[in-house]
Amino acid sequence: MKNPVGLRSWGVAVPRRKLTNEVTGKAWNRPGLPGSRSIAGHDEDALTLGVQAALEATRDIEPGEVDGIVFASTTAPFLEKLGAVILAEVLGISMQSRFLDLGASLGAGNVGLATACDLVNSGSCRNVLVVAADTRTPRPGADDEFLYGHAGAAFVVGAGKDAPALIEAYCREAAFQFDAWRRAEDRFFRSGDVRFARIGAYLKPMQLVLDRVTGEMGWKPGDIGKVVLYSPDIKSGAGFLKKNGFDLKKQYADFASPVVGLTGVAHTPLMLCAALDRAGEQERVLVLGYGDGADALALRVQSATPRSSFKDSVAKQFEISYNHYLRVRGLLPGDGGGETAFSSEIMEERNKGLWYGLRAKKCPSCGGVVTLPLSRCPHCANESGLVDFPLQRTGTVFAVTHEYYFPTPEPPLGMAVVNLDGGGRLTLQVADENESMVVGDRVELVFRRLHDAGHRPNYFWKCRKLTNAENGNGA
Amino acid sequence: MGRNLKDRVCIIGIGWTAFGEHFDKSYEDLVADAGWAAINDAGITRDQIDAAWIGTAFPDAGVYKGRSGMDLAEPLGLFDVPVVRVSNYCTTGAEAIRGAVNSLLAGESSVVLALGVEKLRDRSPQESIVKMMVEMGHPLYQKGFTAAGTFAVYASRQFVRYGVTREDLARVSVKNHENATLNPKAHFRKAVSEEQVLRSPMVADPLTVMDSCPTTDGAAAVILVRAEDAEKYSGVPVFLKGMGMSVSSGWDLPYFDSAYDLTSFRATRVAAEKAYREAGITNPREMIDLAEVHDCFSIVELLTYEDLGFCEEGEAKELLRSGATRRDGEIPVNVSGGLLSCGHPVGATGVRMVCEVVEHLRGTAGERQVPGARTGLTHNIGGPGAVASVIILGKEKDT
Repeated sequence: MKNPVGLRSWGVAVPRRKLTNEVTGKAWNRPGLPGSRSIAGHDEDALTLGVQAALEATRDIEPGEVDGIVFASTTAPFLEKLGAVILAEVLGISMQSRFLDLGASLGAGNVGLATACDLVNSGSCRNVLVVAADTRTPRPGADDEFLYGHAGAAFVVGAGKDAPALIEAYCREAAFQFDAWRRAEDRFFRSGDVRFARIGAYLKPMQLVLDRVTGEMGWKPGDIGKVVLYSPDIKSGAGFLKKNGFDLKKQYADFASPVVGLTGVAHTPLMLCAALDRAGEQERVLVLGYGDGADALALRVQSATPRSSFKDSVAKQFEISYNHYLRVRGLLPGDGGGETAFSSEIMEERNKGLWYGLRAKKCPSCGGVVTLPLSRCPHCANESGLVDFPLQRTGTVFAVTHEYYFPTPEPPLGMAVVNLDGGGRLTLQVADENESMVVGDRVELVFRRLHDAGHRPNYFWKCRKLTNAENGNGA
Repeated sequence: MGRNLKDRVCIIGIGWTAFGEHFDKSYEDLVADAGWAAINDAGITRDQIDAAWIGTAFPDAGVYKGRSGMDLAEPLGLFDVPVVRVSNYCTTGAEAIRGAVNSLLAGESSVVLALGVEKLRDRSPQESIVKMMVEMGHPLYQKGFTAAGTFAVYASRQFVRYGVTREDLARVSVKNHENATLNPKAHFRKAVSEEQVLRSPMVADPLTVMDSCPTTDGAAAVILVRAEDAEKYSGVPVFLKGMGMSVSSGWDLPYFDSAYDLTSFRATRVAAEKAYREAGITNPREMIDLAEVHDCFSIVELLTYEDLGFCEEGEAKELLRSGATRRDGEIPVNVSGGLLSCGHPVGATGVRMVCEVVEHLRGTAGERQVPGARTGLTHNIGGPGAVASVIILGKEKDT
């Protein structure tokens, strides 16, 4: 490449809810299988998972450094409305950036990475945020239902020079074949003949991209430290690598699929994040993705950045019942309400910075933080107005209750009055509440879908309990 | 500072419907029943009324009636005089009275009617007050709260800060339900045990169904005249001694501004201070013989003990545990059964409280009469602790 391009940072979003395959099996009187899959809450969608992953990926990067966003998903909340620009609104990224939504293919996450490489390599952008997230829903009771989960992953693609991971090559072999698809009017995706999908559709393009990338790089299987590989079922991927001379035990460790399931466009990027967290210096990482053909990315780790965000996210998961799963995913008859509340896109326009970006105001006279949409301090009412004050996304629960009569798929609904670190108070719904919230709990703010009034998602922040480890109180 | 109210206005007629689920009565029926009862009690004719106020808090959660004064005029046939509708959350009924009093003092009118009414039970509770919180209001701020939740978070602070317990909350409900057994117009007239309150379904923790007032229909009305005119009418006069009303925040500020400590309601304190000053009340615990306070949820009655100065901050639970606020105690609170047992037809409640106190001061409260009552207080708080009203009534004019 003309200008070396690399991954400057990355982040993952794994939903807290976990459905074990044993529970899914029992629901349909089938033998229980090992493993589990991650399930998005009723208030999560591809965009909120994307926000979560993007916030982690940009934790050490100023919003002003990012000048491009690619949002990849087959389950974006909108068919018509740019997801990338919503991410920009939340993250405070310039509206003069390049914005691109990709979908329609399980390969869109990797295509997004390749596109970002091109944007940086060509000099069009300095840093591109690539966000891949999916909440694909299999038909309840389908034979392969247990395979599919929800997740998000994000990368900042920028100059390769000081990036922890350098992208050295990319190639793609497209293919048009009916292995899996979803029509515009379908709620659930469909699969074609199983044997055809695995042997005909999967193995052929995978072999082509493997041969091309190893040829281009001059790599032999033994030169590669880690292989990140999408496998459409439990066996096909491993068989493919074995046949091509890889040492499964040493080179291929798919921690993600058995735990979170196949997570659509997020899956290969998610596995890459998990691999990069554990990769050593100068290690070569080969990424083999799948979807409407196959693609390959060759990476070299320049500096080890040992992290464990995937592992940590999984450790925080809690199990749910099959009935609970149906409820949170809106799969029960009578679901799909939540459109009757008041909502105003005009009101929202005036307050986007505050509601999406948590960019609040502060009174220069009394120092009070104003988190309501007011243009004067309610205490001082000074004419000079208020100054900008970005809110922190952590805080302490000052007061709390749980509402048993407010309609929600997961009653009771926690409501917490949160005093934020650094100043400011918000009253927020509690998200992912597995353990009852109490006064004094430390919380983080998470971006969620509050309701669908006005026939659109109304996004806002909720609070979620921090574990002791996250809170820096030791393990 | 404005003019002092003391002994300048009196109530000469009261009337209120039973509170409950009036499946057989309309909004208009309730207006007519309470209005005519007050007119008859005052010994006046309808046509002597030369101005009227109607308080309905939530027309949109009810039957879309009470949007203007017209909804009082038609059921009573009270035409060709000014009639205005007022609304101020749970102080709506008290606001109707305040408007009427000010009209008398301004000399605009001579015989005024203040009536509060709410017809909520032409819908299920989920379709009225709960629906209002779910569907109306801000799209994001406080979305998720029901009315119970907005007060339940105050309870969570009391638990941590002052060691109030769930049992204390239950004791409020037990006391008020016991009082209601003697009130034939209360929505609920059965005594309950602490155990029953604690075991009733949770609404917004720590508040259970029995820590919460029910959704109720009802109307209440008073006829007021200037004190100097009292002898012109046959109705037994009871005198206004003081009246305070205060707004301390909007709907949102306490929940979005860390300056609020959620341990008391400033609105009540400010309203009480003004009412006490006018009435010359220097020691409320000793000088007030009975109080009807706003127990929409049990926690609110507890906080109100402190805000009204019946005890020091943090001591409400001791006051309650001591039995001082029982019907036979030192300062009986909610001898009617309160909102917890009478129910809470929002616009009617403030007026109903005044009617209750008037009965005791007249000595006509029947079985639940507080013996020898000379001074009584009513209190409302609404719009999550943002707006409060305090009215002091006295049996006779001070000389």
